[in-house]
Formats: sequence, structure tokens, C-alpha cells
Amino acid sequence: MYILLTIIFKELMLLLRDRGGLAVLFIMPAILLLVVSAVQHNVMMTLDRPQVRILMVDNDKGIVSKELILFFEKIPSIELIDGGDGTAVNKEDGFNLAAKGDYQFCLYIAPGTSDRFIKSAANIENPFSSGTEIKINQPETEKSVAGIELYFDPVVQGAWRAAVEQSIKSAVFAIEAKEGYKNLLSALSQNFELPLFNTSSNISSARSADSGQMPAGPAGKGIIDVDLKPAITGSSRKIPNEVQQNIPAWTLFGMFFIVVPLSGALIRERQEGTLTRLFTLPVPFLTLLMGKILAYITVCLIQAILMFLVGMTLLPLQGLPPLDLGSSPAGLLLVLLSASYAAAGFGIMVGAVAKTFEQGSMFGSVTVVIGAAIGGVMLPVYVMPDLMQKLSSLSPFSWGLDAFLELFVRGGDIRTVFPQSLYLILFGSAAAGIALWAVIREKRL
Amino acid sequence: MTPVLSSETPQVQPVIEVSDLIYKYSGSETPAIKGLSFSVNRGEIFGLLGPNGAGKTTTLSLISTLLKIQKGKLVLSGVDVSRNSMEARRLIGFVPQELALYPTFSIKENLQFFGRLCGIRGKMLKTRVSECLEAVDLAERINSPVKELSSGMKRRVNIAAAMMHSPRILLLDEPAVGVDTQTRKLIFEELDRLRSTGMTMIYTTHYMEDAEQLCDRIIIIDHGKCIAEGRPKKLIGDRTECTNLEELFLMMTGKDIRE
Repeated sequence: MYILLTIIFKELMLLLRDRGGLAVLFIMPAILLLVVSAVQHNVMMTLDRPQVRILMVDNDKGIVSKELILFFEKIPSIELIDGGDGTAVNKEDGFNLAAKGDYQFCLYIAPGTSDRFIKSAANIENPFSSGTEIKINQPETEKSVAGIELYFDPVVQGAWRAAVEQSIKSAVFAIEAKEGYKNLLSALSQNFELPLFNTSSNISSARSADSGQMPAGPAGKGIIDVDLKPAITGSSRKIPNEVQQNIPAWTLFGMFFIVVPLSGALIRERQEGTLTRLFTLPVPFLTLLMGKILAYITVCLIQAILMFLVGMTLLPLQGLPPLDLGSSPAGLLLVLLSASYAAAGFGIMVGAVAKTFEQGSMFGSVTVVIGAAIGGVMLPVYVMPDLMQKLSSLSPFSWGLDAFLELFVRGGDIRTVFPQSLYLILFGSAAAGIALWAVIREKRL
Repeated sequence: MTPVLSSETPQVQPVIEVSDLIYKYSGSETPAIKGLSFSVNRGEIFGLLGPNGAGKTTTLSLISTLLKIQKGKLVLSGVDVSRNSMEARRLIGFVPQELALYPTFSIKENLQFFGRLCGIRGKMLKTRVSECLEAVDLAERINSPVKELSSGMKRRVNIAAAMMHSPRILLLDEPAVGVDTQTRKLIFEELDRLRSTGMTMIYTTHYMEDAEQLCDRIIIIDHGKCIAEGRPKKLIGDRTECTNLEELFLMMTGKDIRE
């Protein structure tokens, strides 16, 4: 017991005297907590801040679009942006902005939608003239008005897509109900000479009585069609799914986690004196550095290949769709290499800067989790608060994830992923440069 | 100030020439090395002695190119270290105080790795591994992982790894620290053999007895300066009150414990 207590005391004393290690142990988890909490804040709570931005291209300017605007004004989680201010004046503009990911959704209302809708709604048979029962659900082919198209950024996850689609269908249902109610009253007043009620106030009252919850959509198809389509450019017309979106995210997470073994290996080499020996051999330090980076790039590539194989072979066994690697092998190779280089460079930097193995492993793992949280690995960036979205643009995870999604979901190629790959390469080079500087300055041998 | 006891002019062309070396660490007020000069001839074992903080490690780091020369001149076998550190590295084999080996690798894998980094390939690599292991009497343990070796064996592998590329100069930073008498004897015998082949060695140690027994010449440095240089027996003989190197060392550097 005495020996055990002596060992425990020794370990605690070692830890207490490692100020850097203490900072990593106690400050880094706090930062992690703050970041993850901030990221999740919007998801866990209902806030006034919009979570989904819908670009509206209104080429109708009629009753349908006006009612939709009024409807969405009452939903705080959705921000409707008028493309008519020059952002997107036609369907093509809106489609392209959604395809690029500038907006999660583009709501396009075709010219004449309102006119066609009013005509269709007025064509409902007057029950009082024929003496038969009221026919609410008319044959769809005769009554549907193709007018509203909802394009979504392919990287928007299924749950968010479904929620927005449901909201729009609910709005359309409200418009249809209002128009139907108006027509019904008109028919009643014509047949029984009743005064017309104020339809708008009645519908608004009905909606506000719903405690802010969006009404459930119609079970069947209404008069106005809402057509949900992915905004995919080029020849690729793949329907995005969770597999396409999640595998790249967690592949990147795994790749960056090599920071722990890589930094640990470097710290051990320093502590055991092998680095000292290496520095006295006729080999430039840059060669030693590149050797390490290349070795870990290989590890990252193997890691990614395994993850992709899981996505292509094991996930389908669970009933999930298989991973589709897109149509640009060159683009995929560029992204994999640049992300691996960034991860390896970061690992070398941590290994060169950290003073102890504990510092390196803790700092490395916690920064990877923070970077992943900020970069959209755990939650889509578009649902994060503004500050987090801005920070996200600084995370290599965000660049890597964006590049993978560009290839797997948006149908991109080597040209479209070049900017993100360049950022990753620059990040890796900057990290390796810091490592070089740290070793030369400190001669941490 | 303690006077330099004696200096001897080398009879042959020196392999190591250190002239007016000055080195100051960033953030430090005073230089760690203050105008140090000495030379080592071919086939000599040169003892670099001094108390803690005297500048031994800094001097060895400068010779081994771990540190960049700020002032002064350092020439190894005609190669100016400041101008051509890579070429200088081909001439030296460095035995660090730490066991600079990969514990999970076998002896063979360690030696092959360091040999390959020095450009040794194929049959030559195999031959060098065998030669170096025979020299330290570890040929039969060639496939043993380093982590399974005794402390003495690790020390011997540490020396073997520095000899893989057949350097002309061997820099030994306390190579026999923590080893038993038998291993120490084996190490000394090997260093003696290497001396007979013409290898030049710089040997640092805190054991004055070792230095007295092994070194052809020694230099005692303190506060970055040379305070004594010459053959151990001559230096001891010059001071009648000293009977051995340890007494001379304590007389010259004082009995105060250094931090």
C-alpha cells in the first residue's frame, strides 16, 4: 500500500510540474465544452435566429408568393431571402446558387402560378348548382398546378430537407384552404344570399391558434404541386443520402486523428535521443520531416480506403445505400492527398511544439475534436450560429468536408475541389513550417 | 583566473581543429563557450572534461553539427563545418548519452535503419551490421528487440549504431554511464581497437578514472573556457599535490556542487 501511494504521489507530482500538460488537461476540455455547446446551441434550442435560408425566386408576383412570404415570416427557423434584389432574378440563378451551396434551398415560383391556381381553384364544382355532395379531392391530373419548385443544395441532410419541404407544403395547403374557403363562401352567398366573411382573418386566426406549430400537410396532392429537386450541376444526377454525407466527415475525422500517434512518435524520438542521432547523420532535416509526413500520408490513405470500403460493402448490408465515390478519381485523389498532408503536417507540428507526450496527445486529440466540431463533422455548418459558421471557414475539416461533398454529392471534379485542396496543402505546409521553426529555434533534442 | 597548465603542439595534421569557438544560447546573458580552441590528432582519444554546465555538451553539439557555429572556426578532416555541415556529418559518428535507438526494433533493424540513412545499401549494409555487432560482441543477439536487452547491451548497440558508416571521428557522450565493470571493459577494449585503426575520438565523461585510463590527451573546460589541456600523466605530474586526475580536476574546478 505504501509503495502504491508513493507511485501515485510521484505521478501527481510529475503532472503538477508539467505546466503545459496541466493547461492541456484543464483548459482544452473547457474549450471543447464551449465550442461543442456553442455548435449545438441552435440545434438543441428553439431560437429566433433562422436555421435555414431559402432563396426565393419569385417570377409569379401573385397571391401564391405573397401568401408564402406571409407564411414564412411567422416561422423563425426559416429565413426567406428575396432573390429579386439582384441575387437571383431567374430560376437558373437560384438553381446555381443552391448547387454551389451559397443557399441551402431555392424556392422557385414560375410565372403565372397564381393565375393558374386561382382558375383551378374556381373550377371546383359548385355543389349547390348540381345538388350533389362537395368534391374536395378532385382528380390530380386535372386540378394540379405545376408552379413551385424547391431546389436544395445536395449536401443538405435529409432531415432538414424533409422539414423544409413539409413547411412549404403546409404553406401551400394553407393557401389552397384559404382560396377554397373563399370560393365556398362565395358559392354559399350566391345560393343562400349570406354575407361574405373575412377569410384572411379567419385563416390567420386558425394558424395562430396552432401554437406556432406548422400544420400538417395534406395527405393527398393539392392544387399546387411542390416539386423537390436536388440542385446538381453537370451530368451527375445522384440523389444525395446520409452515407454520402457522413462517410467523408468521419473519414476526415479519422485521418486527422493520426496527430496523436504522429506527435507521440516525434516526442518519443526526442526524448529517447534518436532524433539527436538523426540530426548528426548526413540527412537534411527537411528530408526527415518529409519522410515522416509521407509515411503518415500513406497511413491516412489506407485509413480512407478502409472507410470507403466500409461505405461500399458493409453499410449496404445494413440496408443503407452504398457509398458512391463520384465520377472524378483525380479529384478524389487530390482531396485525399491534400487532406492527408494537412493532417500529417498538423501532427508533426504538435509533436515539435509539445514538450511532453501527455501534452502532445491531449492537445492533439482535443484540437481534432474541436476542429471537427467547428468544421461540420458532427453537425452541418449551416445549422450553426453565425460566429461558429465564420469560425468553420477556418477549419481544415470544413475545407476537406466541402471538397468531399463536392465530389460525392454535388458531382464536382478536380477543378471544383482545387480551392479547398489548396487550402489544405497550405495548412499542412504552414504546420510543417512551424514544426521546422520550432525544432531549429529550440533545438528540442 | 585559473591558468592553463600546458599546451602541446600536435606533431601531425590534426583531424579536429577548434579555433576561438564562441557560442551563446538565445536568451542567455553569457556565452556557454567563450573562445575555446583545441585540436585532436588522428588516432587519438581526446577527453573532454568539465563539471556540469562547463560547456562540454555545447562543444560536442557544435562538433556534431547539432548546433550552428556562431563565431570561431571548426574544421574536421579539412572540412569547414560552418560551410559544409553535411560533408562534416559523413565524417562523424555520434554516440549520444541517451540510448538513441528504437526500442521496438531489433538490433539489426536499428543498425540497418541508421546505415541506410548514411547511404549504405545491399551487401555492404549486411557486412557493416555484422562487423559493428562483432565489434561490440553482440552478433548472437542480432534479432533481439532492443527493449529486451540489458542496459549494458543497449550501450553497446548505441556505439555500434554510430559506427555503421565507418566514420573517421567518433564523438562519445558518456558512453559507459550506468554499465557494469565487464561492459565498461568491453567498451574500452573496443575503443582501444578503434584507436589502433586510426579512428579519432572525443570522449566526455564525469569519471576521471576512465579518462585517465583511456584518453591520450584531455581538455578540462569550465565556464566555457579551457583551463587545462594535455596528456593526463603530464598534467598530473605538473602538480605535485595531485596523484590522480580526479584530484587535479577538483583542484582546478573547485569542490562546489554545480547546478
